[in-house]
Amino acid sequence: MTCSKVPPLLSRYLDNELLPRETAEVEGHMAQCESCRALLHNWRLQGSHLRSHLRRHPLGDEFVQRVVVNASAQKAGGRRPEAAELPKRNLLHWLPAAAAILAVIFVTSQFAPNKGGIGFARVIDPGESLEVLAMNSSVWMRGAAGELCGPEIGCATPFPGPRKYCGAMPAALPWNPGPWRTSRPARRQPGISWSC
Amino acid sequence: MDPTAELVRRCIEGDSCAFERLVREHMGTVLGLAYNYVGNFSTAEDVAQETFVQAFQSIDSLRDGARFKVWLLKIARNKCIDAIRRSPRWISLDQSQELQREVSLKSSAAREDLAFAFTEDDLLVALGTLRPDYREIFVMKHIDNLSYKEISQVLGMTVSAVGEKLYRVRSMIRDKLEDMKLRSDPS
Repeated sequence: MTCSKVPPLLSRYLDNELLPRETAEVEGHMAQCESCRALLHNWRLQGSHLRSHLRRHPLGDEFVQRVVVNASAQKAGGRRPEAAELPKRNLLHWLPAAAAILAVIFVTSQFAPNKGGIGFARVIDPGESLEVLAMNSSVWMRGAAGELCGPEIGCATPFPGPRKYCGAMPAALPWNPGPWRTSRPARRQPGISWSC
Repeated sequence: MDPTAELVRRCIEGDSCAFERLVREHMGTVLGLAYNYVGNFSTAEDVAQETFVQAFQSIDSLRDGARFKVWLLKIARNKCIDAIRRSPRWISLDQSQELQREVSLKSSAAREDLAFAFTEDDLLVALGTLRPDYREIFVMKHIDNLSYKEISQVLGMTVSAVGEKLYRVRSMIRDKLEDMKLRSDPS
């Protein structure tokens, strides 16, 4: 075996991917070829340097716990995995659930007061959260203290301006009774113009 | 039953301890792969976390638990690609330069000065000049000593193509290291 044929085999030799016969040939050649031994040493050093670099940044218990907590929380929250990794299930399994959801949305939209109305609520008390059920968007929003929550923008600070809220307004605030429900009675934010 | 497959089975049944063990066993591999893509450990850790969270969410789609590592690395790879799209950090050499290097490999393979020393930092610099797919296969081989078969499954290549590519990458790194040495010590 000549040196010109050895390097490709040497790479596979390093990775334990040679047949026993090929291994014997390579080892036989290396026993008498310093140049190929040096090449193997160089390649080995590449791998060991990379491994030692990565070992200097080990992930510990804190990482594991964070992953487990996040993974459990997201699974419990029902966030959908990426489409490519979803299990392949029969579409028919989803049809009854989809039909039920559509029926609920349809019925709700027919009987909800202030249909099409636009409004917002502000989280006033520090440390308290506020849930706003915006019927025209069918979304519950939880805002932090000081945030304004509305069906078009979600919850945000600072308030992005009244122009967002032009449209048919609820007759009165706070929104009890009506499409807006809060975790505690909400008060109208003073100084906000309702005109378009 | 394969121990990994058993952990996967328990994980699908909701055993969080089994998931924790899977994370512990594979976090180094995922971190190493992510580091190769994003170039810093802080972002790599975020990518690793996203990978495991995604894996946990869709683990019931894994039909053969023994293939967990390959499946996990595919997820990790997708997450890495997303991450570098958001913030590319590595700078590749122009491809033509690399091809020129490849052409010179055969003639340089039997040189006498192959046993020169180089440091970890030298290696990282050399790695940073390679095309991402070359870096990827090199890192994949060395972080967890994956077999050619496993790498071929993750990357969608044939086993023989994996062997050839690894040979090319090692030779290119060696050439790059030699250039660096010559530049720093012309004598």
